[in-house]
Amino acid sequence: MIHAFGTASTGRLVRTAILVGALVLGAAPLLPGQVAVAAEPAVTSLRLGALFPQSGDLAFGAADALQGVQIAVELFNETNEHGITVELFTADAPNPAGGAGGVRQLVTTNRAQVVMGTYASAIASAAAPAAERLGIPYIETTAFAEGITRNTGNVIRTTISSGALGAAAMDFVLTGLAERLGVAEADMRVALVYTDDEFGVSIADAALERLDASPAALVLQESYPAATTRDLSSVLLRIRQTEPHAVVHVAQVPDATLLWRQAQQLDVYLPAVVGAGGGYGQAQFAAALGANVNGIFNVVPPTSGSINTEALAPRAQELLGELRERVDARGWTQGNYTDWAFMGAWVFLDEILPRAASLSVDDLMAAAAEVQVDALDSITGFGFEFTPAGEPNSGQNQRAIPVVQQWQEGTLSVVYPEALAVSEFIDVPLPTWSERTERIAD
Amino acid sequence: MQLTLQILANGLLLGGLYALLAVGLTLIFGVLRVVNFAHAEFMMLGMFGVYWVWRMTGLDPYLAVLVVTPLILLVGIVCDRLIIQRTIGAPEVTVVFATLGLSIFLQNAALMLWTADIRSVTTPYSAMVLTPFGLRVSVPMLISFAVAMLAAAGLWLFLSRTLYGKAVQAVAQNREAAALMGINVRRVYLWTFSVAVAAAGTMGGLIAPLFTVYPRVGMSYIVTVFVIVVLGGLGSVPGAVLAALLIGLIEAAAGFLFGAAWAELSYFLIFLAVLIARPQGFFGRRGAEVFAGR
Repeated sequence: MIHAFGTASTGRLVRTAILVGALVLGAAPLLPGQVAVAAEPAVTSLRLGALFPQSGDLAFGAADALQGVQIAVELFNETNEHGITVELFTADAPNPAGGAGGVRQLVTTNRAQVVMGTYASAIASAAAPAAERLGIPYIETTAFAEGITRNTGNVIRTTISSGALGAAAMDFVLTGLAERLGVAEADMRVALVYTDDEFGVSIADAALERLDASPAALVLQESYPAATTRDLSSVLLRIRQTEPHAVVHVAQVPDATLLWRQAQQLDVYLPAVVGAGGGYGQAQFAAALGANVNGIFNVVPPTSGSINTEALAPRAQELLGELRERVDARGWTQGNYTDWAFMGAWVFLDEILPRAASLSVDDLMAAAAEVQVDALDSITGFGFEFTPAGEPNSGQNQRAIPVVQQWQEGTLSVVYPEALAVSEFIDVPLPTWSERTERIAD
Repeated sequence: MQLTLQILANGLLLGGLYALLAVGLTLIFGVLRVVNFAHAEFMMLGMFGVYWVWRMTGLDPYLAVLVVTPLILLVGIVCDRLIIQRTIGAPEVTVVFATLGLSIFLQNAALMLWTADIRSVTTPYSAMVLTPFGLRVSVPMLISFAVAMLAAAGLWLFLSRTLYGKAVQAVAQNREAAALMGINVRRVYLWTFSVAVAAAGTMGGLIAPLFTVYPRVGMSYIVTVFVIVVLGGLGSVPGAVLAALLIGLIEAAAGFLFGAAWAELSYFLIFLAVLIARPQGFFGRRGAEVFAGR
């Protein structure tokens, strides 16, 4: 099931959206949170392996995710009332081969009983099957690719899937954005530009599936190799030729920056651009573009930075306070991935683990299927409810829903869906390059 | 017509970026017979150097290049003394692993020193363009292109018209004979390697206002630059320049005509076709990959 803003989404999604909406508006009552946990858990200790890129291109964002996991484990060991102790081991996974090797290292050398990762979809796609072959459960906190849960039976994913992300990005273009642009959905002209890695392709596939169900036109579909692309002028010239109303771009920071810088050089007008995770949500992207970043959209699951945290339940506020304090004490920065990884790890440790009869894949999946965490009980603003084993996409958190953020004055603010918005839209459509120059001159 | 000219301009400017890297790489191979897998890491060091000088002193990035290039030259001298000189005459596999190891070392040193954060140099002229005949030509790209062409021309003149240049050619053709003629082969190696990697550092500095800076940025260039060097003929400076411009043009044109996904594939296909017809590349000598100075 692909969750999207305007499709025939499930009642569960609607309920979650209402919960998050109430949270964002700061008016939600406290709702029943966690299901009661057995007083004496069957599992009393855990050797947990954390597998994230600590070197290579992906390390800069993955460092935040690893730090989130480290703080969750530290906090759990200090405060949990179940008597469970968790020992954390880390391994570097700079690429897919490193991911598979990292799993073997964690399991055979460190005797990890559960592996948690991974930040990057391509690495998770290699690491999760490697863990499955060893009979080890795999907790994915931050990688989006649909195949991670679709192709394996040992994965519990606490964050969103690329299918939901891609569908939501396209859904926003065809509904909320089209309305703001004053263009009927049937008249919308959409360009889809994405990296040809697993992250990009899986999001693009879901976006295309959503577009296929619409009368809107796909005027351009372009993929490119993210790792070796130094020039996107050809893509931009094709965008100029096809005159889309909106561009959905799946990219990392270097190529997202390159596209915008070259668009300015070539004076290619982009009326609206919707990034789907990756580089578009990173502070480095905003730093590279300066004032030109304002008005660009990004579709991601929410974080504590983009919601009204005062509306969270007291326990979630406590958790957030602990996270912030510990991040600050170490001189780290709290990014999106810190939040997603911390909350994912926390739900695994504090909700799933105490319910598990053992650390086997089957028992952890069964325990996960019992978990119900409301949006208000989560620092990220989305709740947790996992697809049971035996069903398609088993282990996927069905309550992980995306929101649309927009860069405004150099920071990201949620603008859509309206129920969750904390800011109004700005610059729809975006100004032309000459209009931007005039603004700066004024 | 306007569109075609714009694509040609984009391709030539892109090729200019490749040229400065390729000229250094082909020189190292032609003279030292060393396949330098670490070449693009010196470009990365140049980018970081300019970034930090700009960030910490506020110095203009192009002036920062003048500070950073001698530093990269020094790094080149150290690398040559510690690693490259020790591989001369060793089996090819030793040379390959030595430069590959150097590449990995430099990447990870950058990662440790500066983390994997993606950084960018922003200047008022990063987006400045000239508009001759209605085309849009990026000023920073044009500057990089001009520096690459001037450097290549200067190098070619130096190698073909000066006594020291002829000594370099002599070492390239037969190092034992050159040594017997009184040429200090070690010194030729030292300066060839150091100047070539300094050129890569210069190129890195010049493109810092255009591209993001991160430890593995060199990886996105190295394969393309090797294609250029082989296509131009191993050791040939004019061949490297010609091949760089050709690859840039193919990349821009194929990207527009067939889609960005075809850009790389297209120049690899042409690369294969050229090698089938002319295995030594445009200006290389069959069976003797030596610097020709032509």
